Amino acid sequence: MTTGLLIVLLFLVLMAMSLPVFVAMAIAGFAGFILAHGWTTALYGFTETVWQSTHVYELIAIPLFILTGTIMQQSGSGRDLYLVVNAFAGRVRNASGVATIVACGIFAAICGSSIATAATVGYVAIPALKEAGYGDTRAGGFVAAGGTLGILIPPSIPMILYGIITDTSIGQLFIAGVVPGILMMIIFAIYAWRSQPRIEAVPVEKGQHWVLLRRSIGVILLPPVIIGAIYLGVFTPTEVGALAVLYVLALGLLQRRLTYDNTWRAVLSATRTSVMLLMLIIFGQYFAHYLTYEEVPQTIAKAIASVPGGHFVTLSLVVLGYLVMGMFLESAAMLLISVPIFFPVAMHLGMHPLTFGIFAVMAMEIAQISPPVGINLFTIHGISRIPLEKLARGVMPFILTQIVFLYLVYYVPEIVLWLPERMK
Amino acid sequence: MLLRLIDYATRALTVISAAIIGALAFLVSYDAITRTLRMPTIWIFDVSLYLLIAAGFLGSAYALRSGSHFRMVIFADMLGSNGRRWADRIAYFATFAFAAMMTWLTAGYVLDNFNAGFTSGTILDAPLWIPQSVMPIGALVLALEALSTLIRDEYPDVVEG
Repeated sequence: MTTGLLIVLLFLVLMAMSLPVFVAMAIAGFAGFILAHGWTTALYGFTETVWQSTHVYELIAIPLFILTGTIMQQSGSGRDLYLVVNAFAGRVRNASGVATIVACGIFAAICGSSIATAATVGYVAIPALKEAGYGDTRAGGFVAAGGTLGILIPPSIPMILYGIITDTSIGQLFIAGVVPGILMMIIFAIYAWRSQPRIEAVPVEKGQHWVLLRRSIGVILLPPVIIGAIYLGVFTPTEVGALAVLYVLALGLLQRRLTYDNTWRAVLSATRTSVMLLMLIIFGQYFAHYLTYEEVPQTIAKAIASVPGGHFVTLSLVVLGYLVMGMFLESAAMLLISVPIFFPVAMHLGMHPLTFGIFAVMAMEIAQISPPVGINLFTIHGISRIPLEKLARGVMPFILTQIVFLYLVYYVPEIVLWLPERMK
Repeated sequence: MLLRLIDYATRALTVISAAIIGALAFLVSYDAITRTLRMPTIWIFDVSLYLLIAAGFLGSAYALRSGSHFRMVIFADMLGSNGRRWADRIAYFATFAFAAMMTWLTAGYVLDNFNAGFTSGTILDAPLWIPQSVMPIGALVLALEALSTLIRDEYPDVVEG
């Protein structure tokens, strides 16, 4: 066990030295196996374990949902979506702010990544919000926070990762994310609606609504089809991912928005992200394999669970652990490191694997917008040049809301479990 | 000359990896439709998983080149530009050493399976060495790409000259 903790320390040091995280995981795991079994077994076991950990069919869903997002990014669907929601928001107070959140929510129901959601909607929404007078802090905050809905509203790449690590049904996880996702979107939209100072909407010309609706109807129809197909069990999540790629590809070609160049850019971009995630998963599984052998997660879980003060304190320690990790780690890496450790704690707390899955995804949402390394903040900074300090201020109210949500999910798990329990 | 060869190798594997990611969408969709029509294929399940594994390992050098492999650089950045340069050196050297070791280990493993004639044991019953060979190939090019980045960063003049 002591060796196990030393290996965890080695991993943290390697990571702090800025090694690619998958390399740090591989080296730390390999060093651990050498100490545990000696050279020969460690050498032979390495390839065998790595090869075995690639054998998960659900992994295929990851590049497919990423590709759906990157194709939509290139075909300008985010623009259509924002414009149509904005038009129908009409004269509602802070209409453009509310529209930004809702457009993020709809986009999130097609693509499984927060970065893609924030970047696609943000590309058109941020200039529009700034022009309307929302200011950098509010404009950036709305898009960064709205973007995180990308992983809570299904499909969701992190839910696929969680499902693979904990052997939980990915289809059920997707459906479990629907109610919390919509609820979170509504709360975010209410915040945008009430936020100060009040900005008057500029109504669109008469008849323009229908032009915009016709242009974006292909995208708007996709979310109910995706969620419906998974809910009814017609297709597996992986199959839905593949069909969604073909659908957005066909849509982009029909609308004459996809060319050879931008389609190839979409594929390359999806390849980069998918490869990064695949390497993290494969070597994360290898590292987790070692940690489980040394019973490190169980020991940490016992230590957390034995802190006096009951479930509230234990839960708060998990929340705190996630907040601290979220400040330094990218969300996928955080999930792969944290779930093997916190999953036994969650089971001790009596959480359902689906409830903890949604809990972990929400913790990742917070990580994505927590300074200093929240990836959504960098994404928005990259496309809008809004200073990071202003973005960090803009997302604060949303982070607080999400923290409250973490507790809510624990104390009222029906929010998560109600819909999946009704699945076919 | 060597650096140019490494560049070609990384580019070639990038194209293969990206083509696979695109092809997966068509393969899995085809499988979904034939399954719904009760005419399931026997090969797509295995082949698509093997293709995904290939895309992952073969695309790793490209992910390194494009800076996509996630690294925690916050502490390195705190040490100023010199600190960051050293952190980069260490990171690329560790990646090179790891990938070189992996090339050696996985190549031995694939060779063993080739000699023993092991197959996947699934309906497709493919010889295992074929899908497994992407591991040493991908690791080799990843090692070379890391080495090439180290050389480029240390001796930019030599590369340009």
